[in-house]
Amino acid sequence: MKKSKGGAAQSLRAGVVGFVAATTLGLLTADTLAADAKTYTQLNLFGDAYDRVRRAYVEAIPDEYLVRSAINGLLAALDPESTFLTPDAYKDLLANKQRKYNGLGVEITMAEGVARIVAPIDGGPAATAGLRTNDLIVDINGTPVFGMNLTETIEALQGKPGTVADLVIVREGTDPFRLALTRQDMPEPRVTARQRGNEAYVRVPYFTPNVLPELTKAITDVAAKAGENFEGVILDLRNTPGGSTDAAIQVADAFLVDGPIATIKGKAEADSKSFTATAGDILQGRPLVVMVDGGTAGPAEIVAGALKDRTRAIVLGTNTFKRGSAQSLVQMGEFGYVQLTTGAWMTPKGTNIQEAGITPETVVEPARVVLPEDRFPRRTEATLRGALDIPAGGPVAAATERSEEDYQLARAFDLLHALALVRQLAANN
Amino acid sequence: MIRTAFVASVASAMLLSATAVNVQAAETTAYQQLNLFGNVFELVRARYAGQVDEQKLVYSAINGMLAALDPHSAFMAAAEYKDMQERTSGEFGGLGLEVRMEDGLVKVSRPMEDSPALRAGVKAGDTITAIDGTPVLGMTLNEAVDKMRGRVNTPIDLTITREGVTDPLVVRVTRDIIRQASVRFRAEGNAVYILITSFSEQTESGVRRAMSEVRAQLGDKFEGVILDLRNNPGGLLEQSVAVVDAFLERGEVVSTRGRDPGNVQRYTARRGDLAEGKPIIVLTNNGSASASEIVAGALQDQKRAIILGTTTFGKGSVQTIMPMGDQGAMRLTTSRYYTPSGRSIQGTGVTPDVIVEQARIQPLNEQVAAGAPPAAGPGATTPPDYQLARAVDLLHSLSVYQKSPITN
Repeated sequence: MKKSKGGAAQSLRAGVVGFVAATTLGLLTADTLAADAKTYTQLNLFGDAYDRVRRAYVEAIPDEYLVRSAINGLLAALDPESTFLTPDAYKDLLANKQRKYNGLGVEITMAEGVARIVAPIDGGPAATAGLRTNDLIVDINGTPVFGMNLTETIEALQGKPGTVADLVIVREGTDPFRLALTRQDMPEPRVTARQRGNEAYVRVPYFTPNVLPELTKAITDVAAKAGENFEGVILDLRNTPGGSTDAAIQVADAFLVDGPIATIKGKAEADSKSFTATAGDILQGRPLVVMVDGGTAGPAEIVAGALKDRTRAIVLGTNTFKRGSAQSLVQMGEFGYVQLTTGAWMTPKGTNIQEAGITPETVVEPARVVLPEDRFPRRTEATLRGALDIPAGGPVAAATERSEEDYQLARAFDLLHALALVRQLAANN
Repeated sequence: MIRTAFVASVASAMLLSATAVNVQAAETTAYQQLNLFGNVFELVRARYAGQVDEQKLVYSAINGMLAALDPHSAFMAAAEYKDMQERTSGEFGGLGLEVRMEDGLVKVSRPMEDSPALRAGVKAGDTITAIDGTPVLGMTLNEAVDKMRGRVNTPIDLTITREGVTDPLVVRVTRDIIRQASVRFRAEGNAVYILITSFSEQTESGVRRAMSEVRAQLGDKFEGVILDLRNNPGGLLEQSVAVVDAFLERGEVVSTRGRDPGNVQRYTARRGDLAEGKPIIVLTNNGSASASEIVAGALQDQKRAIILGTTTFGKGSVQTIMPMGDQGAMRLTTSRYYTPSGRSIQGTGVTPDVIVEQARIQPLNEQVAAGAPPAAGPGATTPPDYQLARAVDLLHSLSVYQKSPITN
């Protein structure tokens, strides 16, 4: 999975990625020789093309540039996340220099040659301007995105706070439109929470490395206030487009006491890995509802998939983005590194996230709850003429709590409350 | 695009001037880089998580290398290469659209005359956003053109956005045989009017036929030639040279220069002028590119023609088609060309001697009768092609002047 900026460094720390000396790769073993005849023809074709360009092109071009461009072309044909990193680009990656949420607060991937928005990040210029999942960015400051790779596109979007990115957006169902966004110094997105009744609503906007401590604090704060009556948590992963997969594993683990969380399935055994939960559930078994939508991508899909497959949470909302490839960094001698997709993230029950995404058990399309305006005052016994007086000191009708405007959230609260009731009944019997 | 037949002449010679030591160093780097490519290729084969199509990988690599050089260098797989060969010589099933890529979408440069696309109402400037419901975004131009080609009499739905029209239009076009009749001609006033739509293998013979047929028709009234190169995107270099040669008695037509400064190829006119010294007007616009610019530049520099219209596209490079066995071909930029005065039009284009923007002429009496339906039918005198009308006028004036020079 592309963990956007700084993501590959995350996988490095997780030990998912091994450094393989490139020099051993070129050696042919006996059992691969047959298949290699065809490969050799293809490599020869490249050698021929390379040679002719070196000799006949109208200008002298450095060999490094030719081969770099060829490698970029080859890797770009695989998927947007597979790229070549020069030693400098690799250093930047390690130093997390690119981790600036690109000043527009938007997570992108490449699709069909242009930039596709995974989701805007809470509070950023892109979110404020109303950009959405699956919007396509086709032009940045007058330069067509077509032909750029992911790294180049991210670089084009980035810039100093206060500068303007002039975008052309293609959105299904409307004509292409222009949008000028002023870049901001984006702070690291943080977990936020609020209490409603005896339930906690927790919003995870991005899987930063600090997600677990922030999430734990948010939940324990609400639990402390609710005390014995604490019913459970709604984990909102809608429009949670990216971040660190390590953080995702930690978050899923926080709600699971044992068993599988996810696996990376690689072609090679060395590129495969399993993640298992450790003891401890910060909710101690209390119900959990996970909210997802088309902007739920990557780490968020790992969490939703794990909690769904392990029957630890009810997943509510709409189908997720389908972003679940795993990359390895492989050093190519002194020339740099190849970031290559070497695996696919799988849920405990074997759903391939990249191919299928996570399907909620409870499908709820986004909607706004619009209460009918009362054209006339509601009639109750108390409004009837000549009704008996309400005896003084009796119970006073409680003001009904205002409904959530967010229909999905309203449904999630109802569901969580019902789950909590069922759990109480089971405990009482 | 200019395609040249002299593929072999460009290769070799690179290492001749270098010293042995430098050659060795250069070759070591070249080999190391090639080795790096081989290692990346092996890595992908061994560990990439998805399906690996080795041929596609190598094609993408070659294309990545070529696309990083300039906009005109590219790799053509076998099928594309065959298409290209068809296009330069023969016939194919298609819509008759000339298209280009803009912002990832296909933009119509113009529908060809008498084409299915024109009959279906496709217009120059239209943007094609989907072909048979498949979005164009993400396709290369070649892929989009491939999709539009197909068997004669099969239908295709184009989704089109048009300036001034809010909703996308869906236009159904039935494919037909497209004959790239690259030359069309007629008498226009007392001039031979020759329209060259692209420089294919039939262009020179077409121009010769135009001159003999229309000249015979005009007889003694023949005043000159109007060569219309508007929206002509180019084509074969030799054909553009032959067209210039047809109207020049002597002198250089164009020269091409490769990377090696010594590698200069000059094209010179042979005797004979089909127009017998009568004036020539060349019509150009922003869509006149490459081989068209060679013609305009040569006839302008040799003072053989007056260029009228708007500035040309400005593509001053020459591509060589290099077949790669049975695996398609590379289109590689191998030289720049220079007009007889030694200028390169790369990036600047040919500036007309007489600048005339295309315009619609609205007679003043129409304004007076505002609200009435515009005059149409046999009574209408408004010329539909303003630039051409100006060219005809200019040619006629020149002819009058030549016949009876002012004397004092």
